[in-house]
Amino acid sequence: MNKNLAPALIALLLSACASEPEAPAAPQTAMVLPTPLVRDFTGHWEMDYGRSDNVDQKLRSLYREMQRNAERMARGDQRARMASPELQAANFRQVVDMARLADMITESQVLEIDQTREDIAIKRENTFTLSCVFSDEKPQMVIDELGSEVCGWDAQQLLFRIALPDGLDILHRVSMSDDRQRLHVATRVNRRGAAPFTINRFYFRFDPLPEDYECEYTLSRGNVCQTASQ
Amino acid sequence: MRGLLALVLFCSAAGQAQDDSPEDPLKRWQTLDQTQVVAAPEPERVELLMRSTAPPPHRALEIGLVVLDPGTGGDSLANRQQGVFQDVRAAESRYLPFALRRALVDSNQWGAVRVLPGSDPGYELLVSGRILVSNGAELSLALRVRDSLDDVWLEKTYSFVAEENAYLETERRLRRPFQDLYHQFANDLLALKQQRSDKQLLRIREVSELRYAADLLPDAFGNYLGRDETGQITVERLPAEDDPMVARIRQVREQEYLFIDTTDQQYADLYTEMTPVYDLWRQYLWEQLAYREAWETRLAERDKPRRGSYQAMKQTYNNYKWEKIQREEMQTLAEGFDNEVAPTAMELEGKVVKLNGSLDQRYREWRDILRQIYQLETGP
Repeated sequence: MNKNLAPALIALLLSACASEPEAPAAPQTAMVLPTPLVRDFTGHWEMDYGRSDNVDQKLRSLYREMQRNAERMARGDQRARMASPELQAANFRQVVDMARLADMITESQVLEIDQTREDIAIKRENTFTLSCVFSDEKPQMVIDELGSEVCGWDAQQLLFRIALPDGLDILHRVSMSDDRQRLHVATRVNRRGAAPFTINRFYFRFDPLPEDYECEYTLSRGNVCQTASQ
Repeated sequence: MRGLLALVLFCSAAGQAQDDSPEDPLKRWQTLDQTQVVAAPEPERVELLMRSTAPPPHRALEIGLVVLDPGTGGDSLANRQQGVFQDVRAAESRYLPFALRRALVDSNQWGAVRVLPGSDPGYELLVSGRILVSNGAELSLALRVRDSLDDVWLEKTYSFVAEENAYLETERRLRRPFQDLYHQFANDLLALKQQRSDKQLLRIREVSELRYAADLLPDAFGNYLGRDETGQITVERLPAEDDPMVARIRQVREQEYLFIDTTDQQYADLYTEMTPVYDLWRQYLWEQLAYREAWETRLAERDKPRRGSYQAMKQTYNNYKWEKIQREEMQTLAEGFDNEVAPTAMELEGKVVKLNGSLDQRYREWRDILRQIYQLETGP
């Protein structure tokens, strides 16, 4: 296939698929790649619970807001958002579902990031690696049977957008503090017809203990390790 | 029990020498009967048609098997999505011709059978091909065989599916995975040879020699061969049997074969060293595919939760997650395979390149010498 036509064809396919209820929706954020290695996320990162969102607190806050709104409505306050209590309750249930999903998706406590000028791999504990190739200066798009993925730079931030069947859409936005000691991953979970939910996870950099062993995985012998000095 | 039956059938087939001469129609029918008898109880099993004694020299064509096209193309992303790993395929492209070679050698129906690092159009029979599918569960090879006259004997896709117990160690001792494919190919090639007369086979040998000579000394032998309207090579004239140049060219060719046989030995070493790792690799692939199939079946049977509910979204996300994790697992396995096989393959590559280099050099020297001798003998 002509390489220049491939991205256009992929986009066309994705947009065509988007009308199907079971097909993943097309990621729509336009992403432009800046100069490679404008931000180097390489390193080991551990979750900072003090700064990261607490889903329960966030939900309680939303619930209180909903209650206040219901009270305003009962008083005939003009500032109240006009929605029936049933609708508000249904919306809140959806938000709770989104929040639970966002919490599950971002549960990794440790990240290990390997980045070069060509690509990045964000290894996340207990789940799959987010990987992206920047070599052709275009957002990389991967279409799978079970979902499609697009990734690339948005100024200083690295974006991963995953479109799954049934209109489910996940966006990870990765950024780093100027002193390169803190990593921020904002994950937005969205579904057609429902309000999106965003969860912020912060990580601090840590240096793993120096490894005394160098290991190599082989098929017949498994992991074969030897002392680093050998 | 099945293995025992296969062994019995194998032995019964092996015990009966097969004469491939078309001059004896009775023996040809016996050959066909053998195929039917052997194949009938286990139709998926293909037994190799073997001779107990070497074929007569005039029917012992030499075969060159060119390293296969790995069939990976240039799109690494597409390859990855299809579960094709370039390094593994590169190793397979050298391994599989040797597996085919073994079947041809074991059949005892041919002359020398060699694995060649590159194409040689002057070979009596040249086998080339491409790997279409190799995923542990299925092996599919597009193979092409042509003779020195450029007559295509065979152009066929061989596809075989591994049996459920193909990777059990006890089974592997009796029968290599995809052995049927190699046997089928060898049997097909034998059947095609049987369709050709002694005279036709002799012509293939003559043309092979003349093509080699024309390549070495185009001024002297270039006009011995021509092409007909179908593009097939025709013999315009033949050199005298006692032509000293012909004798010298045969000597040079023997020298070349010595080099190629050394290269061939390197492929044999790769085959031996790679086999246990390759079996593991294919076994893992097979298990992954089997697991995936079972998982998809379970998925289809499972009650779907209410659309938009947490359970439904979780299921959708987890399906994607496990797909990605499985792919990463495959990548790790491929790296494990590469870590183990690459040093041998690289060593082989180094030797072949070195060998080719010296072979080329010798070859050029021989050509120069032969040209000089030729000029001295024929005069200005």
